[in-house]
Amino acid sequence: GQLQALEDYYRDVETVQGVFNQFTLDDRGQVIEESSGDFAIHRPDRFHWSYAGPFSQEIIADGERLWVYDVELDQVTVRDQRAVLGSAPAQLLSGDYADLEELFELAETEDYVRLTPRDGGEAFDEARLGMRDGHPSALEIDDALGQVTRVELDEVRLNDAVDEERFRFEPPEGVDVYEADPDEGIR
Amino acid sequence: CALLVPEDEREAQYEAFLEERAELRDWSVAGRAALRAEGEAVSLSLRWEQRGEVYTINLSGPFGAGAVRIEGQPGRVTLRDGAGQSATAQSPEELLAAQTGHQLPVTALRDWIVGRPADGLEVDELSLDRVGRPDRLEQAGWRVDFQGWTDVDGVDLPSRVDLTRGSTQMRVALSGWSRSDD
Repeated sequence: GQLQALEDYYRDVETVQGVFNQFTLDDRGQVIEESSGDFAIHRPDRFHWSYAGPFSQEIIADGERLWVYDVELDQVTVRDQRAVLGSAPAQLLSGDYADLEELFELAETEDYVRLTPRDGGEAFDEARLGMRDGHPSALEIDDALGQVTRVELDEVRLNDAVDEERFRFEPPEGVDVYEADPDEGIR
Repeated sequence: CALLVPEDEREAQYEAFLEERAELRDWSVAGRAALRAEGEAVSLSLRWEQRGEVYTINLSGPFGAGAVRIEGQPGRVTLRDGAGQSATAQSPEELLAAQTGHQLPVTALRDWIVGRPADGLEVDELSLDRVGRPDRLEQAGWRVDFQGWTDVDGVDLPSRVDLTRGSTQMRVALSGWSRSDD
């Protein structure tokens, strides 16, 4: 089933690469945000999530720190990786099963694994992770505003060699770099 | 470079520029905002819908996490967050200060974001670019720099606006403008 497929994924898969499409639906089901790009993950703590449009953003976890580079804004925010809550898809896909069970109650349907935050500290109500061909293929995140963010993964390659350079980041010349304290979000 | 265009001609272009925006009442835009205040740095996705005096602003962190929605009309603004809490205040400034601790000129931003000085505020400084669009303006202690423009069905609207006041800075990149004149 889906839960077993997820456990196997965490056991067997070390690197994941592919492309993604992400869109957010508002509570009326209208698409209010759409973006796409490519990603590479080297479990358990390195990934590179690259948004191509409409705004280009690079999110890089190098194993110690999480870099967020907003290209159009000439700004990089960097924070300690360990302190970042595990709700983002990249963290979900790269962490390990024990982390997941610690953060979320896991339940299973025919089509997905349902993740319900245990301590409510997460910024969302529920997430659903659909497994296919031995890897996560779609992730949906519901928040209490009735919005759903869906991330679809395609052209996924498992355990292929990954250029480790993708998980290193050097802020380009002339870009402002800010240390963000780890747990601040909007509030 | 501003010397190439005679002063009065740029003024005339600026008047035309303001007229072009006079009936701009209904619009929506997507954005990315980078806010830096007192050493804190936040990077957000932003979606702003303005229908006359009524507006909805969606803010969210990466992957839609921590989504916050601000719905406002003159005299009443409500903020709802991703955990189901909501709060109401008279003005967006009061609400954001109470909920996030950040001082943000949301009401003025409504005009700045479409490229014009904020209504009802003194204009302490205004410089125009070669074609009569604002290049930089200063109001209520905020310095507003228009870093780029994009043509939206014949009307130039900003593609990036930087706001600075003291140690607070907010950069907003804008894309996907849509507007309807009434």
